[in-house]
Amino acid sequence: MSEQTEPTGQTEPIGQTEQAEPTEPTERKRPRRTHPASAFISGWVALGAFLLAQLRGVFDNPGYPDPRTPIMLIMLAGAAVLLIAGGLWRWWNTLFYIDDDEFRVETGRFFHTSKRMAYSKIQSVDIRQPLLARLFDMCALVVATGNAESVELRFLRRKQAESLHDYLLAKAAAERAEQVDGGSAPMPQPAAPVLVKLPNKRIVAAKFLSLSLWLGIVGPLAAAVVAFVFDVPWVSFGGFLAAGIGIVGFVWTRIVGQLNFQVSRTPTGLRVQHGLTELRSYSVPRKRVQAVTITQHWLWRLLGVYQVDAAILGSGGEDESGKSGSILLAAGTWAEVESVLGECWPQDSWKAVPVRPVSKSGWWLHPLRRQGSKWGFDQHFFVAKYGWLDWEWSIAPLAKAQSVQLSAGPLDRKLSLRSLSVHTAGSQISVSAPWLDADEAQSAFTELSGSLLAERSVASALPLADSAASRRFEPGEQAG
Amino acid sequence: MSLSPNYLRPRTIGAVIRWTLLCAIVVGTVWSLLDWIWGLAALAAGAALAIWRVLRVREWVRTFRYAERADDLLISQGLFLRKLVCVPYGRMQVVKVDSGPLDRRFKLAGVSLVTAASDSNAEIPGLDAEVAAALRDRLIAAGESKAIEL
Repeated sequence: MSEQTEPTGQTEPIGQTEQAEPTEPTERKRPRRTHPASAFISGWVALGAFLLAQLRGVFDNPGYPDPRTPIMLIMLAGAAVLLIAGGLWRWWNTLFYIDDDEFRVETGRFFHTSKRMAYSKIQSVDIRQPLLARLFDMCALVVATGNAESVELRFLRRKQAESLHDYLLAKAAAERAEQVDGGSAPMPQPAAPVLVKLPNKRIVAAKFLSLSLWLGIVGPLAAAVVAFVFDVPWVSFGGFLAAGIGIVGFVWTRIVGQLNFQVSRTPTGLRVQHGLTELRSYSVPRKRVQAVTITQHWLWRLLGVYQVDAAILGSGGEDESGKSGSILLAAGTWAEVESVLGECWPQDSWKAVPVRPVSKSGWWLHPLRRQGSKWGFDQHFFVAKYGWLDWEWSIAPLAKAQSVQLSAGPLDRKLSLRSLSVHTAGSQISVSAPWLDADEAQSAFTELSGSLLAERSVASALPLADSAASRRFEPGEQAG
Repeated sequence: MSLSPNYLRPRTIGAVIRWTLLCAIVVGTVWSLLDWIWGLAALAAGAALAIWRVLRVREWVRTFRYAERADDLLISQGLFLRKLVCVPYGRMQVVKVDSGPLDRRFKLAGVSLVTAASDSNAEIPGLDAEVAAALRDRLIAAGESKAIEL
C-alpha cells in the first residue's frame, strides 16, 4: 500500500472511526485514529493556559483590558474555537496503522510526516496518563526506539491503549525471536501478577527523609532567619518564603509522582507503574536492562529502604528523580530489591559476586569515602559499591557491557592506583570502581575482557528473555 | 601496533595552530581587560604551556598503542590520564574512517569505533590511509561475524 494521505476512513463521520475493527477482509490496512476527545483535551489545556495568562495580565498591570468587556469575550471565544478547531484538525489528520506488517503513523496535511517503525526495533512502549486525560480515562501511548525519535499517540481509551501496548510488545518480541532463531509464536498475553506494591506511607516517609527536601525547607528558612536577624526589609523575607514554597511544591510533585508504586511481572520482564495525578507505566524488558544502581540515602537507614534505578535501553528520557533511566523501585526493603532484581536476572545471582575492599594506598585522600568502597566481579557481573554516608551499589551484567576501561591519572600512578570501569549502553549509569590496587586491577581487566567475550555466546544463545528457557543455562546458579 | 610515524607532523602542526589560537584569545582578552603587564604574563604562561604541549605530542604519538586480538580491540593511550580500553568486536556498531585536510596532506586517516555506550567510543587517529581502510574492513567483518544483540 502506498503511503497516501487519502485514507479509506476519510469520508466517515466523526466518532465512528476510532477503534475500527478489521471487519472487512478485503481491506486489511484500516487506518485508525486516536479518540476524538483528544482534540478537546489538548485544546482545553491550551485554553486553560490562555485564560491563566489573561488573568495574570489583569492582576499584574491595572491598565490591562478588563476580561469582562465584550471585546475580550469575543477574543476568548475566538481563541476557544480556534483551539478546538486546531485540535480537531490535528486529530483528523493523524492516522495510525498497527497490524501484522507494520506500525506506521501519519500526521499532518500541509506538512505531512509518515513515520514507520520496524517492530523489531521497538525498545519500549509506555502508557502515560496526564491529569486532564485521566479525568476522561484516556491514555497516551509512547512507543520508543533506541534513539530519541519516539512516537506518541494521544489520546486513546484506556482499554485500547492497553491492548495496543500488549500487541506492540508481543509483536516486537516475536519479530526479534524470528530474527534470532527463525520464528516462534507471539507471546501469550497473561494478566501481569503484582510482584511488589509499595505502601504510600513508606514512600512519603522516605521522600521526607531525603536530603533534597530538607535543603528545600531549611535553606529558605535559614535565609529568612538571617534576613530577620539582620533586619533586612520584609520584602526579602517574602521573597524567601515564596522561594521556599516553590521548592516545597516541586518536591511535593515528586512525592505525588511516586505514589501508588507498583511492580508487576510480565513474560518479558517487569512493568512499573506509579503516580497519583499522572499515572506512569512503563515496561522493563529483561533484555534491555543494561545496568542497575541500588542507592540508600543515609537517613533511609532508619527505614531500611533502598531505591533501585536501571539504565534501560530505549526508555524515554528523564523521570522524577532527575536521573535519566527508570526507577525500578522507589523505596523498597531489601527483600523487595532482591525480588525485583531476581526478576531482571533470573539465571545469575548478582549477590554471589565476591567483593573486596579497595586499596589502602593513599587512603588519606578520601578518608571517609574509601571506608565502605568495595568492588568485585565474576563471570556474569561487575559490581562497585561506595558508601560511607550515602550508600550505592552499581551492578553491570557483563553480557550487556560494551567495553572495559582501565585508567589512571598522574596521582593514581604515584600511588599505584587504578580505576576500572565497565561501560554500558546508553551511558545512563556507568559502573566504575576507583582506587584499585594496580596489579589487581590489571589482572581484573584481563579477566573481564575475557568474560565479555565468553558471555557473548551465552547471550546470543538465549532465544528470548524468557526466564524458563534461560534458567537452564546455569542450573547451579539460581538467584536465591 | 602503534601509529604511523608520519602522524607526528600533522599532529604537531595541529597542536601549534590550536594552542596559538587559544593563547591569542586568552592573551587578547586579558590584555584588553587588565593592564599590559598582565597580558604579558598571560602571554608568557600561555607560550610556555603551548610549547610544553607541542613537545609532548611526540611522546603522545609514541605511546599510543592498539592491538587487534582474536575477539577484541585494545587501545592504550594518554600521558597524563592513561587509559586502556578493551572493545569486543561484537559490540561495535559503526566503524568510521575520517581524515581532515591536514591528515589528507600526509595521506593519513583515523579510525573511530562507535558502540552503544557513548563512553566507550574509541578513536585511533593517524594511521596510513591504506592501513586505516584495511583496519576498518577487518573490524566490520569481525563485528558482523561476532555481533550480539543489545
